Amino acid sequence: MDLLETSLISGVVSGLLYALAGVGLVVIYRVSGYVSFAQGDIAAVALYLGFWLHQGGAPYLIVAVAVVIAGAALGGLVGRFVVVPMERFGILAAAMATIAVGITIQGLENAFIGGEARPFPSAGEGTAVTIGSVSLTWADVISFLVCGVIVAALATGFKRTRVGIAMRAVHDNPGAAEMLGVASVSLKRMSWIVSGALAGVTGLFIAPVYSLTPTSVNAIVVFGFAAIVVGGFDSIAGAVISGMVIGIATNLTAAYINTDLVTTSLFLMLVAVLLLRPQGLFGRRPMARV
Amino acid sequence: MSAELLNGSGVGMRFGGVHALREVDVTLQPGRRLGLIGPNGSGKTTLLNVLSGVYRATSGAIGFQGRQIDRLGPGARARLGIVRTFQHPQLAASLTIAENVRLGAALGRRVHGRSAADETVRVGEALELFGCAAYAEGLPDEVPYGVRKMAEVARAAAVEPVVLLLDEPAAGLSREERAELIAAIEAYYREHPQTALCLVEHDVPLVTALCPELLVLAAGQRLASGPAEEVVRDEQVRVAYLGENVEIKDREEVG
Repeated sequence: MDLLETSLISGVVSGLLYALAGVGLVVIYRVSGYVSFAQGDIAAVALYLGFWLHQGGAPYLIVAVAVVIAGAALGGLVGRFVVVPMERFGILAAAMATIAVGITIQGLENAFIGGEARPFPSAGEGTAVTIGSVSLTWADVISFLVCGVIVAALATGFKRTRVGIAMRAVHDNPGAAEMLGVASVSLKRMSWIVSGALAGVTGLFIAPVYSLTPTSVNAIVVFGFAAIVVGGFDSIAGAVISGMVIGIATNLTAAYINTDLVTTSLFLMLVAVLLLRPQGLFGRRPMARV
Repeated sequence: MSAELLNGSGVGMRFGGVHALREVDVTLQPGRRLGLIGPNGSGKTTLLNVLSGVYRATSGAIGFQGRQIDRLGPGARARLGIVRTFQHPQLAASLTIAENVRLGAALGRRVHGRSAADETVRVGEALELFGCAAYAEGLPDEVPYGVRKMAEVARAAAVEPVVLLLDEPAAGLSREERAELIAAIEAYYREHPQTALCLVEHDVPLVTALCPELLVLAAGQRLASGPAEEVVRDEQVRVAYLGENVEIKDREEVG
């Protein structure tokens, strides 16, 4: 029973983090129609900066703010100078460019910093709350709250705000959006800044648990990608629900079957959804782009 | 400010060796409603594309309120209040009909410096006026084609444009829907009499119901222009485009 409780509760907490990782991908997809495969790598660079700041004695709050700002800045630069300009060759070229950026960042990190795991400071130590037999740390609670607030804010932003509607319009029909005065290139660049900041936030909650390596955030972004595919690219609520389902399912797989089958169970879910409902469980329209 | 809002003088457009437009002059003043007619391939949509900035004219000049705007793209021209629709509705597929119209109202907010509350009011008015209110929460793929066409015009109307360029808004509409379209545009003009309109349409009775003046293009050149009653009786226009059996209906009769 304890094992079941633990699986369910930690599944929910990690599920919301997967949703946040997924939403970071959705921000760019909603404008440009492709997914950034450099999300985890942008986060890693920002996290290394945070790691060094922490080594230098900076308090956690400063480290956290610096990581988010660095993520936003690096995301903005990558979007502005590499990926958005590549869109003139098509969205496939732009998506490939994100892979190139990610591999380049990983290569540079391995060459100049080294790939060994480094400990990253946590948002909060110690038990914050106990639910049944499960104790949640302050880091878990803060992660849950921050992810929840950000995901809710982004869902509202996409649905209700002028910028959110304009972003979706650019994704659907860039030419028509331009005819209505929508500055599509500016929105695309902005989406990279927002997405970079989200990469930083996501990384802040991943690195303390999985340590900091050039690829540790990427490993969790895969779960985020699964959350938005299962939930539907145009449904942030769907990403949250499917993130939690994935979180619980993978935790149950690890607890009751075999930890080696966690990734297998994730991809089985992905394949099942893509075969049976390609638009995702909560999506309204079929996914049509990269 | 010049009395001329949008002015194209000596406009030419070449695609390789093909002259889509040659030396066409067109002027839109506040409140002028100009119908643009002509056979398929005569350059009507090309002229709309040049005026709206989709194409850059290969010769001639485009001016707006006394300044040259040849180098401005479609987005910049839209932000000046030059708004167009397309023959095939260009609605954003993942946005509801209301959200699509809101894009127009958002542009209007920039053009006219409106408040956010006013933007919401414009959306409601445009949806109501063009008969889309019942479909406001539907996606474009989920609503009838006629609603999509009307929503495209509603989106442009929500801008409260300075210059409105309509490209075959009635194409694909039923007889009843055409009557609704005319009534809606007439109602819009009662509220916004200063809007300059350039209407491309093959339905000549519809054009003459809405536009007191016509410009006829043939093979990229001006064939005739002037008051609608005179133009449709012009022998050259009848031979080149209209045929012998065109009647001009009263605006009330069509609307």
